[in-house]
Amino acid sequence: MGKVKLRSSDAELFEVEEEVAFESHTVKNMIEDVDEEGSDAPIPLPNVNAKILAKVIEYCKHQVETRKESEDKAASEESIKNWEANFVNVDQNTLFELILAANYLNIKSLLDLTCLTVANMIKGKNPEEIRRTFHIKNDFTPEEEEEVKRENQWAFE
Amino acid sequence: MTAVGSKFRSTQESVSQPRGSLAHLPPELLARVLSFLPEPRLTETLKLSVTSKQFHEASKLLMRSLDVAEVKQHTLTQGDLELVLRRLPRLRRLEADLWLVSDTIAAEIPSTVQDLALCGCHSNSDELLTALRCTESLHRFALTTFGNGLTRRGFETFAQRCRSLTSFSIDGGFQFPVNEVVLEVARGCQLQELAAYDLTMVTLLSLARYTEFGISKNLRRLSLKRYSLNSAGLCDSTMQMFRQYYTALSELTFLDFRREDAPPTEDLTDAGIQSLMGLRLSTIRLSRQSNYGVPRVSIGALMQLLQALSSATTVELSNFKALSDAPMVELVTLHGQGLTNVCLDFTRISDLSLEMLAIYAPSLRQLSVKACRNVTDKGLMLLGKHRGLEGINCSYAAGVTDEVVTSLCRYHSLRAAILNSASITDKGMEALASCPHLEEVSVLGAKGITSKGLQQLGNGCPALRHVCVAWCEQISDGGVVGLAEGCRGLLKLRLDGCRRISNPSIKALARFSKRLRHLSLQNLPRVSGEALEHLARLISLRSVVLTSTGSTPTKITSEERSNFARIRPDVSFKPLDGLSARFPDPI
Repeated sequence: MGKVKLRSSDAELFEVEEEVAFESHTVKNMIEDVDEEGSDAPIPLPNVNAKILAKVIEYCKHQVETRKESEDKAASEESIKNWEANFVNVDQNTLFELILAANYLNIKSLLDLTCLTVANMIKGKNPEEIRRTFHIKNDFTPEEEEEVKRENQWAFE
Repeated sequence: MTAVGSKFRSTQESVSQPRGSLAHLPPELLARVLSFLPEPRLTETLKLSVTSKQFHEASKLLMRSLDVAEVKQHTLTQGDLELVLRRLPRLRRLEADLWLVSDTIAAEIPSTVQDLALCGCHSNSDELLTALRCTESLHRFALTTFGNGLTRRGFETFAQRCRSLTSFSIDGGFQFPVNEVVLEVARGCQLQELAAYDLTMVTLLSLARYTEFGISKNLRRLSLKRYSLNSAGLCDSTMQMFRQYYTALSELTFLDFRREDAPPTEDLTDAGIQSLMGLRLSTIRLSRQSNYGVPRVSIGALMQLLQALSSATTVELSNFKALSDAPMVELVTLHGQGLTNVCLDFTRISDLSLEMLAIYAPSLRQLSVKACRNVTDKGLMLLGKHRGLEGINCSYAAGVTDEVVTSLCRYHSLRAAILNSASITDKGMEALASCPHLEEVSVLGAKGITSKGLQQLGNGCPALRHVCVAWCEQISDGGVVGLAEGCRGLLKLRLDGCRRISNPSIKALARFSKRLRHLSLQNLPRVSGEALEHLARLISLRSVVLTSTGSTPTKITSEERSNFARIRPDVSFKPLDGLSARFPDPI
């Protein structure tokens, strides 16, 4: 198995196993498009900074490892859940950067995990609580808000 | 970001917001986040659409790909439902209530729908079925109708168009031609699942004998309920018929709701049970509600039946007089791992059975031990060991105390708690209030419960839909107001005999319980005609029971009742969800 070099937006280089890099369909396609001579050049990822790329690589490594250990199935389900819960236990900034990175790098499992995490933060909250939690401005005018409510009045009751 | 057909263009500029923030997410990604919200996803998404313009765009995007819409707790108007359905082009599963909706809605149901459940169809006709566009892709169809508009004809054409239908469920009143309808549907489709009521022996035999119906080869799940004297009963010849003709059955439910005390003309004995052993059942649910019960099936036959089950998940043997601990031990030892639903109402099991379940049935989710006289608080306490317990019924069992309820709520997973005639107080209610998923609570006759307990329940359980606090005589207006404020999704409420309750309670319900359908206010001497004025505003209301029995006076005059009936002719004074619509003959 060869190694792949990835370059973050802030010019930091990360060297990873090919199979780890291939967790990202975007990277996989980039690598497969490049011909053999240029295969040593680092893959540029202008949309992902070093801090986030490090996290993404950590995730991909874990994915590859757990797939290899899958004989002991019962034990790993619980421990995977724990590992993932720990992995997404980050500040909002990092969490949303991870979503954008997972989307750009096309890593479905990471995208699902991070989106689910945000959904759990949204779950059970009313609009005002959501605005507060995520620092969102209510950009509806009172009339606009009224109209949106009226459209689906039944759902609010 | 494009407007996606929305006139509310988002103004949250990414310049003012950091990259790593929710506001910076493009609507497709926010839609993806919303797609992970738990059910009911559609209503949750719609409620959040007022958060900001970004949320509004994302919710519209999500709806384009949403495949499930479960909205039957809402009484949607025709206009509402049309608007919703037009925005769900990829819908696969729809569950809706048609109380205020006419037949023309059928044409709005997307042709992608494979799983359709319609209830509250009291004013619909065959046109509803004729206008359906999704018949080509329909796999499952469930219909509940207590009206007179749907006929055999409608189902005849419907069945001919539904080439892929494999599951059919029909529920209705005693006037509905259920036997003819079932035959029509079975004739046109290769059913694997059938749920119906009051099917006669002739129908069941016809279904099996005509090979064109394919019942023998295909039918895996059969669920029958019995209300009418003419329909097939829980007896040996019915079981023998199943053994002979319904050979593919793996799940059998037969619930006899008739209440006459005299023994039936033909009964269920060991012979019938032995017939069932010839089938490879993983689900068996048999019950007879009458006092007579099922006395002629011996303990030996029960043990053999339970031994013969193949990887049992659901077992109900209500009112089987010989059912005691020994067959339960057998069941749990053999099938404990897979057991999820167990119902042993009116049987002689004791704490030992509960002990066995606690140790050997880790997957138990639903348990009912109604009127099991030999069960005590010791056994009931053990039920708290079940981590995933979602439904419990221990009505009329001895020893249901606050400690028992607290134990049951240990893992906060309960969705339904039926605890009629229990000796619980506000402490028990506090425990129930710690279960945020509770949808159904019944604590009939708990004289130790006060308004404080009910308020706590209202605070802790916002998902409550069915609540019964009948004969909890200490409850006053404060409790009902607290419940109404906290539980905006209430569908059914029983306040019978809570004699301290007066008009402010009803006013609060009219204000907060917009979805309320069934309200029972029997024996409430302080409630006056003013209450009816408040209730007249609840468009979702379908029945309100105001009778007074015994010597309890009522302040509501018959003139006030007539006035109400004039303004709201759609509301019944009889309990609609009760059994009066089902039984043709007085019991």
